[in-house]
Amino acid sequence: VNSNAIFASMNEQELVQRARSQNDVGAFSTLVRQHQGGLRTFMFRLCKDYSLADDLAQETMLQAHKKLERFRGDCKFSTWLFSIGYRCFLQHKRKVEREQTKHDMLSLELQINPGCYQSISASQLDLERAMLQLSDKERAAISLCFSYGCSHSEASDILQIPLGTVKTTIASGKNKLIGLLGAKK
Amino acid sequence: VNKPNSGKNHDLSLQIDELLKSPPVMADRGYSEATTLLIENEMKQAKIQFMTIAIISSVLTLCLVSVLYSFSSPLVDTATNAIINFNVLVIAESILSIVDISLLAFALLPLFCVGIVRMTE
Repeated sequence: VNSNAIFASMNEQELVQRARSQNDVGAFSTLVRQHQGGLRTFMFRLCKDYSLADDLAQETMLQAHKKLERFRGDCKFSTWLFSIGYRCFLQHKRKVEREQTKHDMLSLELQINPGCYQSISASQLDLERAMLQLSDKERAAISLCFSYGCSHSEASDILQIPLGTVKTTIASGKNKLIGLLGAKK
Repeated sequence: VNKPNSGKNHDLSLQIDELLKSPPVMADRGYSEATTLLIENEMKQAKIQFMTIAIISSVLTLCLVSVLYSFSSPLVDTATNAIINFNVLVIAESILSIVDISLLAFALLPLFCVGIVRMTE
């Protein structure tokens, strides 16, 4: 029997359980396939660089595999993955800021490449461009709460900021998006 | 009094909410396979590291037990027994965690040697 077909029929909890208890790479590989698209989009929104986003997402997957024992299942697997991803991004950002190399993320040219996505509409393209104008925290908070179904409380845990700050960060980010997209129309 | 643009902004806000709810998804293009391969390689490397540590510690235990057996005093006998007991604990641990059956073999090796030495005495 094709193992891929078996994994495809399993739900997320069963896949995590199998990857954890039997150390089954096939089960974890299915989780990677299911979550890579969303995770890489989230990482790109944070770091604004496609190849760096891919590297950070890969590092996130590696860490998730190593720490799978610690996943308690009290939140969605994607939420847990995004929290690891955000920590990977922060670590990278601190390293870059310390080294002050020419690869400084802030100096990168802000470009959205439609070819990197499965499909992207013109409105989504405009929104992604506008998202890049927001601060790191605003991009992360808006992405987590609006795009990836996290509650404000979960976003507060992931971003390690108070609940009230999450709400004000989202509100200020949304106002900036309205201003940027409103000016375009 | 409503600002002149408040209605327009409200519509735009709703549009943005809708767009945010359906974010674009990155195309896979072999990314999952590459990541899986990377994870498999990491696992192999971790296993090799673990095995290396197991081999080195077993050889060192074997050497220590051999040296201690060349002396004969109650204190040395106690120390030797303690090492053997520790090795038994390592075996029990490896049985419980079932890391790798070969680790069990490496942990058993010094005990076999000690057994052979005792039999030939």
